[in-house]
Amino acid sequence: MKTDILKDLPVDFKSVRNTRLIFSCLLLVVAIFLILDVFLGSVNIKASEVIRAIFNNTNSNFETIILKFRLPKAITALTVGVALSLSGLQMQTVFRNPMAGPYVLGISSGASLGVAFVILGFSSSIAPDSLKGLGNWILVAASWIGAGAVMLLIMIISSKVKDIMTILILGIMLASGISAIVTIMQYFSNETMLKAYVIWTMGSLGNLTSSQLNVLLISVSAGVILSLFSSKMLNALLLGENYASSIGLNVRFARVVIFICTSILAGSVTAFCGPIGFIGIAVPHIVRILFKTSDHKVLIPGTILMGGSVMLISDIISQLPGSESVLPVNAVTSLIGIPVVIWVILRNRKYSGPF
Amino acid sequence: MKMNTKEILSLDSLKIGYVSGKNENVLLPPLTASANNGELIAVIGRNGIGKSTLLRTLTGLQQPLGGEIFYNGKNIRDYSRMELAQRVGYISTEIVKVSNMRVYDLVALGRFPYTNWIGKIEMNDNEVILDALKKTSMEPFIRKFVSELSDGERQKSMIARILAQDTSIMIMDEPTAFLDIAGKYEIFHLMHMLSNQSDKTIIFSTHDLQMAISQSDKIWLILDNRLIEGAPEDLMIAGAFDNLFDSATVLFNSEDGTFSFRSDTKGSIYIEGEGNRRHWTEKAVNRAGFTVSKGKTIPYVIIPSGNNNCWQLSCQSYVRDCSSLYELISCLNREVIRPI
Amino acid sequence: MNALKSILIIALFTISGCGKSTKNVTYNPRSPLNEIVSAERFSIEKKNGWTEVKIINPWQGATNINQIYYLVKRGSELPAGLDSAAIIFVPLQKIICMSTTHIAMISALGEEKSIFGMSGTSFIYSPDLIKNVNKGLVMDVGYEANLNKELILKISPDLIMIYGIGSESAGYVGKLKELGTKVIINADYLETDPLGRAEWIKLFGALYCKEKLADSLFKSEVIEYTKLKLFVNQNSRNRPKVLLGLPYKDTWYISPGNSFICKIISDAGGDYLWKDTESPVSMPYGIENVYLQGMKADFWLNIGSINSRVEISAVDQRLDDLPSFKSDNLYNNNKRITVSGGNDYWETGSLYPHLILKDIATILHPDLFSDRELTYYRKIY
Repeated sequence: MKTDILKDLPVDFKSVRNTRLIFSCLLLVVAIFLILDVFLGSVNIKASEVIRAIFNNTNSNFETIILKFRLPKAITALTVGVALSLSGLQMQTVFRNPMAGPYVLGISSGASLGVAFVILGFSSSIAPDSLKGLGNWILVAASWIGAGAVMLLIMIISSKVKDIMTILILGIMLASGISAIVTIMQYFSNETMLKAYVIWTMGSLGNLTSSQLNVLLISVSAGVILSLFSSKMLNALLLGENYASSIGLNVRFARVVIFICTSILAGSVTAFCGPIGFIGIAVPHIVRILFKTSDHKVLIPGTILMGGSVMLISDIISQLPGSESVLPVNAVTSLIGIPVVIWVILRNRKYSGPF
Repeated sequence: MKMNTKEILSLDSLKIGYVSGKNENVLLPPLTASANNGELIAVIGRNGIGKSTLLRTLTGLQQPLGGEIFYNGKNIRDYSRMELAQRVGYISTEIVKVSNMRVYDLVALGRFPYTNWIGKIEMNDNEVILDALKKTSMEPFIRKFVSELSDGERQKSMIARILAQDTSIMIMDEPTAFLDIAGKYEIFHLMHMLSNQSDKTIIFSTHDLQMAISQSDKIWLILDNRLIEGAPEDLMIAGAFDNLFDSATVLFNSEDGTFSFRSDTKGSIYIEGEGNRRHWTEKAVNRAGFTVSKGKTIPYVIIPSGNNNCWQLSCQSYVRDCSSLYELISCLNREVIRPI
Repeated sequence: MNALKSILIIALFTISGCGKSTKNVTYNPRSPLNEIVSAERFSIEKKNGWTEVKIINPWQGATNINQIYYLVKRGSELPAGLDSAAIIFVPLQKIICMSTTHIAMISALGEEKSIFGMSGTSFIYSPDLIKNVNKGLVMDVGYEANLNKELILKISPDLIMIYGIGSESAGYVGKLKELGTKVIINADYLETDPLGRAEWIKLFGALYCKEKLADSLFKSEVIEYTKLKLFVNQNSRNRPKVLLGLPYKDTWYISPGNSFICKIISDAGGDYLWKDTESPVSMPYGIENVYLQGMKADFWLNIGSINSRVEISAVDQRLDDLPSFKSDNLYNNNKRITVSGGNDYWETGSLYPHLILKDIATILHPDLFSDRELTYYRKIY
């Protein structure tokens, strides 16, 4: 009798074993890259020194670099990778579109509009001293407000419009429109302001104070928890909104939850680190091919681990260990990511996206 | 085995249609119909008349523009989405295209209304799923990817999904649309078995009139101005189906539910002989545009019997042996053209 | 006394240096007008009937590009055989400039009334010119590719003086030339030698037929500069290390060792932390790296547009660890500024590098100077 039940189990042991194996590997990979990211950086620090810096209290310069620069940056990289990949996965499922990413609702455009107002909008007039004293927090706030405004707009549209495809198109149009406004602002700026804005768009992981890092961690954690709850809804949405509704999903509610989740994840990252692209679109595909499943109970944790790893690798590379120069992290994510995705897809020719 | 029959679904002056902007677009006059448990009900009507809209409204995917729908005596509005999903299952005409989804996963989605917040499949859920797969004979495919299935297999998986959803009512929009003949029969057989043995109420739309008339317990015939419901034979007697077709060109045989195209009769032929071959000879001759005469006329045909395998065609000017009906008809056609 | 001075000056030129570029030139105070000694990117040659001005490699990365202009006195006979497109009639009566350095030099020659247009009038420091802007006598003609060509045509200047960011400037230059306006690309900001930059006043001298004035202005500048340099060289007892700039997010754009500011720091008796690097543009270094090096700096100068220590912390809290921050040795070159963004450091600073030198020397070696008043710099609290 018992053997019968085993035969009837939904998945055979091999598949369960495979999945567990892949998860363990990914966990190991994340750990390794996290450690590597702390050990490698712009300044050459010997491994023994790194260990000494972490465990002893020598107060040396190296220790400051490790503790104040590299460790927070590594944690930021991990968090950013998790947040963007997760929101990308959700967007791809909700919109049933393999090209969707965390910014498809126009979140990064909204954020860039807010930031553009601060950097470009105050033009040559020097902002009041009190504002300047807040420094980075102003950019964060402006970015969040911009992203939030767009999110609100999308929510309103989403409640009025039935077809999810329409929302996708409207989101993309909104993003384009906002970009156009920002372009106009750039047109009328001088070089210094322009440069500052352009550098913001290149993304940066290493600029967070500890309080900012705390806020980022809290919001991303909230987003991750929310996404775990949305796992069942996402599975239902795989068949499309009609079927999802027929098996009992409240589609409007699901949309709201998932949009909020994406906004928290992608919005927080953009607010603190600027718009970092490509990861959100590429990582879910890699995870799907790796696990060969469409079940979000597996895809969500898989994406979390894979996203973290990819971002950590990108950060390590952007530091150009050994040379003093650095590369903007945005460029690295694309340059690394694109060949990887192409290679992965070519090796699995049957893969034609999630749908 | 049919349980006590009770009314499981009833429509009361139901107005279906679309709302676009401020305008209400009502497709049909108010519909009234009902369904009992364990009935196989075919919804028939011409294209565009609103069959899909009706089915979607019954599933709760669309709001009715007026009237009421009652499930087990309770208004559909009083059901929560989950409750409704536990009672009504739905298959649309959309082709499901998801990569990396195995048949088991697809069927498991049917358990959505019953599983916990993370959607964990418990032992009893698993049993229901396996049972559904067995009933649809999809067990061998359990680990195959849905994208690798044939049309028929995919459709059966979708039916397995609704089975796993454990609903008393299954609503299907053109379930045999993309299937080949064997596939169509398979699905119909499955539907028949489910309604008969598992006491499911199945409401489906189809263009396959033959199947519908021969297999369903009830027909909902949707015409431009009303809905006629009844057993297929009742409707046949009432000549209800005649209204479906443009009777100028199509002739509907009330006797056996077949069609033929009206055409000017080319002449009449006498057929001598009995049996299965006679039946089909008559059919071929009718198709060619001839009527069968009661008394012997010229030309006439003698049906092969015994050792003889040829049809003997006797015309005015000659007698000819045809080895097949095809040849026979060709000769007849040629004969007609020839001036008499 | 004069001869002694000259010998000293010559000697200085041969001894001092910060890297490779200070030239060994024999410089005679009595040298002819228009002899260019320090600047590398232009030359002036007096010919029979005209003055030939050559701008050499007018933009970043240009090689072997010479732009030649013929300055012809108004009313005099037009020399034959000259490309008429390159002829500029002098003295200029109407000019449009793109940079505040140009304005400073023109004003030094007393010709500010010839300025009819400027790109970015909000960045002007000079109060007199600002008055003119407000009166509508000086118009803002826009930036680079967005130059308001209609306005330029309306002003119809004798010359537009631009500065090229790259060869793409050649694009809109062509358009301007098509409209019949004369354009000179001024490359003074590319000069890495402080005196070389100041020497560009001679170009303006030629354009306004005030060569003698320009020459004497330059010569006195050279004397002041070298006097100061010598003084610091002889009397300073240490060479403090200097950090410059501010990070943008993760990246700190570091001026290379062959830059203008590095020279001045060196002449002022200090050592710029990256004085041994060489690059045509500023280098994007990781903040980790700069932080490590920055720990060695005694002084921190040219800190972006910062006005207070609080602002520095707001940019990045980790900067508070730097010794120069902790020991309060922060100085920024935004003492003479206007609300709308003008900064005299960039205006008259190019023309009077000795003032910058004095400022930095006073900062690095305060004990050497009794008068510690700073011109362009101020201490940041």
